[in-house]
Amino acid sequence: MAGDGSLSKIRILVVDDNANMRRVIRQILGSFSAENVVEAENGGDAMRILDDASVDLLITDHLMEPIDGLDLIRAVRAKDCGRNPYLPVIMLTGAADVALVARARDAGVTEFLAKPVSAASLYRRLEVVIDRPRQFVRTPVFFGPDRRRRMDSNYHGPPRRDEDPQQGAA
Amino acid sequence: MTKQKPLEVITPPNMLKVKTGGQLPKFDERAVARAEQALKQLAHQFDDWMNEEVAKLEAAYAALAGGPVAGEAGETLFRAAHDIKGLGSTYEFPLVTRLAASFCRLIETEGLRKNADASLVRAHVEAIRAAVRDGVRTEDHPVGKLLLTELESRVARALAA
Repeated sequence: MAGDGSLSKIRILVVDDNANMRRVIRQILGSFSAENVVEAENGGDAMRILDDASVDLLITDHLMEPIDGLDLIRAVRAKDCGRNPYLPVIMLTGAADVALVARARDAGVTEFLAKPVSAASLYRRLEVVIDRPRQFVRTPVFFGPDRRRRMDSNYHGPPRRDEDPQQGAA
Repeated sequence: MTKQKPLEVITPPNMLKVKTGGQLPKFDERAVARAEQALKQLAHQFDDWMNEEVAKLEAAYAALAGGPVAGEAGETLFRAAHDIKGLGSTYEFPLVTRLAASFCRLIETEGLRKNADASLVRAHVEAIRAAVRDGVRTEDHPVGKLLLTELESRVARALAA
């Protein structure tokens, strides 16, 4: 039934090299009943956690060393890596990081959460990944959540995929 | 020749929904209010945390030793500014977030760093330090607003040049 969902059984991995930022996110998640939160300081530590434990949702920053958020996402989506390739990933970004957004989409990010992080913005992102998950797409050069958010009824241009209905097709 | 369709659309099982037992309550205002209240419990530490970030910025700037914003030291300075941009508003210093955002624009890439005006770099570091030290949190502060406007316009001019 709609509206009964509880985050209490979800394990969330929060990856950020700033301990205070991790604490802020954990504090918000705890208020949403998401108490099962594990933390990592960088992408390398996160991968070790993902290799050893079941994680349902990944929230990651971008700028980290030695392995940053983009490389972490690529590692999650990598073929035959032994991890869950469909793991939902929310990436923390600055509001104006347009170039990063494009690279993160190509790496296979699921959603973005713009800094400054607020309780409301984090809740909305959780709603999206749980209630309106994206389909995944595999091509020779890409694997990840569909980079098209939705079918745009206002788009009247030519089809952009072979799978799209062809205009004028009999 | 047959045209291949090298695209596969997959609908993975929604394990999150399985574990949550259903949809999340649509924008649960009570949960959000609880979280905002929980954040307020951390607020007394925000000034200390902001000072920690400024200390990292100052250390990164000092590591340049008067030289250009370049190499690993330049990257460290950018990351420190980027962290402040992301954290300032959360720590109730939205003006500092904007100062840091201006700084990030100035030194975002190696190419920009190479040409960054040293006095403008120093001005950003000093402005961020002063705003945090003096508790200048928002654009309501007349001097803070003036400083921000001046730095943002100088960066815009530098990037346009």
